[in-house]
Amino acid sequence: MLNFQPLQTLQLKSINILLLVFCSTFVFAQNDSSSTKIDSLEKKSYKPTGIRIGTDALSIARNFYSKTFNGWEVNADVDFDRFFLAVDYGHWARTYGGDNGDYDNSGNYFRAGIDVNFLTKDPEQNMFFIGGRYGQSTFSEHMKIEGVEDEIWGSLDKELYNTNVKGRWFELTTGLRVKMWKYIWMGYTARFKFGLSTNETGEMVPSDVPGYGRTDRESTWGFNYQIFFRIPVRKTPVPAATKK
Amino acid sequence: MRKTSWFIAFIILAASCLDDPDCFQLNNNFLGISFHVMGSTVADTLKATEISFSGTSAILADTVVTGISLPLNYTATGTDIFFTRTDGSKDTLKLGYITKIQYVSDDCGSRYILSDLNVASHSFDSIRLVNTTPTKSGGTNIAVYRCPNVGMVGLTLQQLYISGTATQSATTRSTIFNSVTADFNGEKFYVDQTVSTLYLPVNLTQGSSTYTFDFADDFGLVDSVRKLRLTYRVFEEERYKQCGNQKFIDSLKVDFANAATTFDTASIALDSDDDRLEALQDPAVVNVKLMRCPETNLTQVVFRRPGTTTATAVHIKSITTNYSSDIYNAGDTTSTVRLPLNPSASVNSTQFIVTYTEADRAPDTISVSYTTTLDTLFPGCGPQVIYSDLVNLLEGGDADVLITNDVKFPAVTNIAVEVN
Repeated sequence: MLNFQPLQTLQLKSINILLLVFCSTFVFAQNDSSSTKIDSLEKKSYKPTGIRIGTDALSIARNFYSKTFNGWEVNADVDFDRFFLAVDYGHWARTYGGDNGDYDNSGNYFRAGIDVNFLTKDPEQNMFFIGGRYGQSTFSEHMKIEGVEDEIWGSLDKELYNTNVKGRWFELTTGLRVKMWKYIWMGYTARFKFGLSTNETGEMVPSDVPGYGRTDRESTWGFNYQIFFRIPVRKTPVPAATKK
Repeated sequence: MRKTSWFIAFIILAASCLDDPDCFQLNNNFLGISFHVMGSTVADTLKATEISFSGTSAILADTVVTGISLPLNYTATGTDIFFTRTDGSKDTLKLGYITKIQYVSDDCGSRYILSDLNVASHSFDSIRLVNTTPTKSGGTNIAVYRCPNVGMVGLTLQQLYISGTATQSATTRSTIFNSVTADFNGEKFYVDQTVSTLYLPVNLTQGSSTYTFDFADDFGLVDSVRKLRLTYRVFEEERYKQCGNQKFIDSLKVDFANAATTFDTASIALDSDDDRLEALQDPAVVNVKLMRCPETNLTQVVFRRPGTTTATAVHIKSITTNYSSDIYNAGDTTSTVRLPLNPSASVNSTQFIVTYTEADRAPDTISVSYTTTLDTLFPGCGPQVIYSDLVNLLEGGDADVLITNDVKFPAVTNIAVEVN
């Protein structure tokens, strides 16, 4: 089992600052006295202490800076000691067009899995995790080839549809969750996606699976920058190393 | 901070993987075909004047290959391929497959993915589906086999060499032919061609074939025409069901009896296991080596300016010897001549007299002595006179210089004649 030493709170926050500059105000505003208010427990408890619900800021931002992407994603996790049940749900649509043809797709997806926290002794419950996910997507896509010629075989004009195709895949994940201020948490998740399978039956092979991405490789990467609101359901136990 | 750096590096690495696809050769719509002969491990050669395809007027012309990669129609789920060979024979290969399309990018457009290749029908003797996924380039999907046709014998022409009295060697030699005639049908082959290896048809109706070789160069030496008679056993059997009963040939031999073969020497070639290649094969291999014996009595003379080592051309009126009435190099302008020593093993000296076309240039006399021995260096050539220990007797008007005293074949320069 990996045994990471707890990172200092400011170090973790520095990482977030580097990744997203606008977080800096939250970093300086955060309250560092929470550890003194919580009870201590000698025994491990697998009872959840809170639910984090958030969204992927990058997905929202991409709607504004990318002409080909439209989508959103919501994320939630709940703790069971060092283990977190994580669920993501999102929508993703793409539109491409060019001289060689047009393509568009649209669909919804979810991911579910477990994250394992390696910062168990952090008094603020900041989190560095490694985990896994199962992902599934249901989507439709359309492609139109018009005015394209092959010098040997002639016209390639064609219009194709895939409707209600299902895609399934797996992910290895890693990332950080850092408490910024009271109930506000931020973090990122890097995803290594692999093992994609799709169930299309027609002539068209999916090009882009919502939640997964391009399908022309056996594996791909994903990245989320997430903002969470944490709803506490009971008092957080104080880790043994920080008891007073 | 160490962990911070690690995370940033990880993010950069992840971002670097999100590049655009490469548009080069997106479609796997090529069919790899290799050509074989049943029962042979040697690749067969397809000689086609035209390869055409269903769905397009594009053709592939004048193809000589042992393997080929052909385009498949990716706008359809099948392609018929038509082969027309140089001998006029035709074959058809009808293929089916699944074609799927995938959008790649704005720049690249779509790619076509072909799979589940199958052979609907064909007219070849036999084929084998090796790989059901067409390729982007290279690789083999289908191996095409044809029935063997063992009606061709391979011949190679070799020159035998000597270096002094001990070293013998044989080298394949390109030779200029006026023609080669198969006596059983009168057909002429290799007319006005220069080759070192020949493939000739054999007479399958009887156990022998005779060929007449008309040389345009000195491979035939004195006689420009040489004969070769091959004897063999012709038999019929069914080796492959697809081919039915076929004629095969083995027990190949060169017939020297009654001067049926007039080459200096000839022998059956050996394979890599040193077994005699007495059976004709398809594709044809070299079964017979036709050899030209070395001329052991050739000495080479170079003309040069006094005090230099640079050859200079002289105008020769004639060169005569003291043992025959033959005249050599008459009318030549050359810096080097090759002259035959007295072929008699019992005579140990030879004299040459060189006269020039310039009236004011005195004739030169070259006089050499040597040791002769009668030896059999090549069994097929029999006993030959071997010359050694050449001595320049230094006679004549100009100074003659002995360069080397070994008489070899090909000839090396033995004497330098200094001319003003």
